[in-house]
Amino acid sequence: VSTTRVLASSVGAGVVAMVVLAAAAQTTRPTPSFAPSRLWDGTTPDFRGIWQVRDTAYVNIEGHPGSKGIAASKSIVVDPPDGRIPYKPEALARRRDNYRARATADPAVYCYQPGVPRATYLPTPLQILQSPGNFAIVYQENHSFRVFQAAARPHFDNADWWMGDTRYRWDGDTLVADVASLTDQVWLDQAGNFHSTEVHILERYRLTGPDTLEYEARIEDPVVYTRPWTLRTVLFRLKQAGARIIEDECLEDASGVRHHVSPYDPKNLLKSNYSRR
Amino acid sequence: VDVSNFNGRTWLDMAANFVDENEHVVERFSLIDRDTILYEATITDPTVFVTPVQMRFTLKRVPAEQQILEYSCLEGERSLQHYTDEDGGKKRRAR
Repeated sequence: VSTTRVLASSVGAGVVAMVVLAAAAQTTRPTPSFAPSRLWDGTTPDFRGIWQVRDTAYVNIEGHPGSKGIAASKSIVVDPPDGRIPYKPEALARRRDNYRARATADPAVYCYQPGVPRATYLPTPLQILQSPGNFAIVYQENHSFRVFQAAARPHFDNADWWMGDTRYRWDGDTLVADVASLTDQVWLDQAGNFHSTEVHILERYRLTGPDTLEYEARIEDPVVYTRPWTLRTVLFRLKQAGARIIEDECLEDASGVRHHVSPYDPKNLLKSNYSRR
Repeated sequence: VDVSNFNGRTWLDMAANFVDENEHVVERFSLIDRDTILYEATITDPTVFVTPVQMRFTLKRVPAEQQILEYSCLEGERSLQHYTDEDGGKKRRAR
């Protein structure tokens, strides 16, 4: 915990410095785009590394007050400008029901895969694995992973997956990923925000500095929303020595309460009542 | 590849061959031709095996148009149909 705090405060200072610099730059000219380092092919931007958000959007992607152990956060919804997800009236009613029942109704409670874009802003790191022509993300949460496929191939039809079907292309130094075939059995956060199987997501990944990765998701779902909307957040590079993804096995026990099982936690080795063996 | 820190709760196959938390694996991946990886593993577990166990087999590259598809294993799912009776499928189900 102390390592995280030290890292958080030092990264925080860096962010403040960058914000000041950006503000200064904007008075004279548009913010220059960052030129990322390249893979060994000399062209592909190098996104490799271990990344993690530092906001608490995983609790609620809309703005929320602080609560025990959870820092308050502004909405990460950037469009519409009011930060609210543009639900249809009946969908908004369902979100309210989800919210009230969230302690037991959140699919994450049952160790289901987190889905997209939820996997990106969980309070656990992810690792980007990359070589020229290949792009994959391994998430620490519950063994989730996505292998991004070249956009030249069409999406699969008639199948709904927890983590969807992802096709990507490069738009300059921005990776643009088109995600479809998502199940409606996932939520977008712990607050019950949701989508249907008709959802279509356009993700944009862009390095804004050597250690900051901007993430944007445009979410379209004519069944649930009155119009497409967009969320945006920033992932920070984990820089402590030996940083790595650690195994996180999520098992549900007979009482329906999830457990994250790590070999680093000796308590977990003593438990023998997991219902999945 | 040197692998340790196992929790001893895994099996090596569907036939109940097992290891415990002292398992230690050294894996070797070698390309022996353009589309073939030779996989070798030496499994040491002094509380289970009297000598290290060595295994070796080949992995074949599948056509480039193939892709990995999601297989999300959830509680409540059962794979017993994959077990033959000799492997204990019916006995396990009867428990």
